[in-house]
Amino acid sequence: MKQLILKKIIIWSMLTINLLFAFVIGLTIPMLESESFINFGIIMIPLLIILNYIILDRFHFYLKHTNERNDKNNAET
Amino acid sequence: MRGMIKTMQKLKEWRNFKKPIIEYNEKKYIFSVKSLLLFVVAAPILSYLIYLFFDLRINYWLHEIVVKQTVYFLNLFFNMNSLAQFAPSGRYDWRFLIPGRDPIYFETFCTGIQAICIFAGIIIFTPHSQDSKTKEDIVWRKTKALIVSSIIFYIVNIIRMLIQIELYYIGYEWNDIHISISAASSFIAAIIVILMHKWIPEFILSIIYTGTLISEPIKRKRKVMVKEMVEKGNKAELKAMRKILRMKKKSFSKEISAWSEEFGYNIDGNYIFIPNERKTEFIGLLMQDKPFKKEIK
Repeated sequence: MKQLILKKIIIWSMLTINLLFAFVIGLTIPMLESESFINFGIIMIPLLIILNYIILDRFHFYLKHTNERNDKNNAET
Repeated sequence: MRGMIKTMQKLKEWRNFKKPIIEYNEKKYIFSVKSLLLFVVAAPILSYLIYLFFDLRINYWLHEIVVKQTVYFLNLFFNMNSLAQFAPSGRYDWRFLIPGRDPIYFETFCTGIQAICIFAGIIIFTPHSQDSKTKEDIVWRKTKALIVSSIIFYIVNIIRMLIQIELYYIGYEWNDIHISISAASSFIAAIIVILMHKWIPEFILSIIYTGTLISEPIKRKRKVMVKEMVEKGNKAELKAMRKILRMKKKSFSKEISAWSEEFGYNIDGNYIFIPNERKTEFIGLLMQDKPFKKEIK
């Protein structure tokens, strides 16, 4: 259980960093002077969405393994 | 017609070919030939395509970000009063204005994106193991490797530019410092490969696996040759046995005599002689996946 909480915190921090990065991109775009400055967001935001999915998938992976371990322990006792 | 039959036989042999398994850190690595071929062909193509994409004018926002960050750190660390100037001309949109020196024009190669592209291509097309337990978290491991390597390359590239521009500012000629320092900073690729091996050992293991796939038919042929020789004349060439037993050239004479004594064979000249009563056992041990390794029960 303790391990799962730690992993939850790790996942939470990663999602926060991801959101912060999206926020920074949003802040940066209006300050850019290049001709196609909007492409910064067009390219980076989809990548961040994919990363968001991968982080959630990782949480699912942790949960799955913890549940499997619990089931095994319950079956043994 | 004969040629066709031979090809069919070879194809059949190829299908029945038992795939080697590499065990590393308690995990099994088995790769499909298709994924290995895809890795060799598609990784460089993808790397090049990503680079071409970032080299398009619509992606010159990347130039601006890198130039402005570099200028910020130049002024912060060296109090240089340098400036980032937007001056579109041909391949260059941005340039560094260094007080007292000629401006430095910035192109896509200066962003370090080419190194990121190479590693992105490699990481994306690194083959997955066919073992379900090993490939379970491959997407996560690949993502981690991709993000960390990209961040390291990005930071190292900015540090490289800081060093170069500072040297240029204090009086060095641009041509003297540009290529040499850029080449020296590429050592970071070695660190990335080590890091990559930590998260995706599939990269190096797939290269080893390819070598194994190529060498396996040669090893098999050698074994069959020794088998035929033993069946005919109860003897085998020492040179072939050294290769089968994977013994080193230097210590071979010592090792082979100890080995032959253990198995009850005799050595004479360049040959090893197998007594008649041990012939079947010899062939059995020879044709094992790991020749002459007795299984522990």
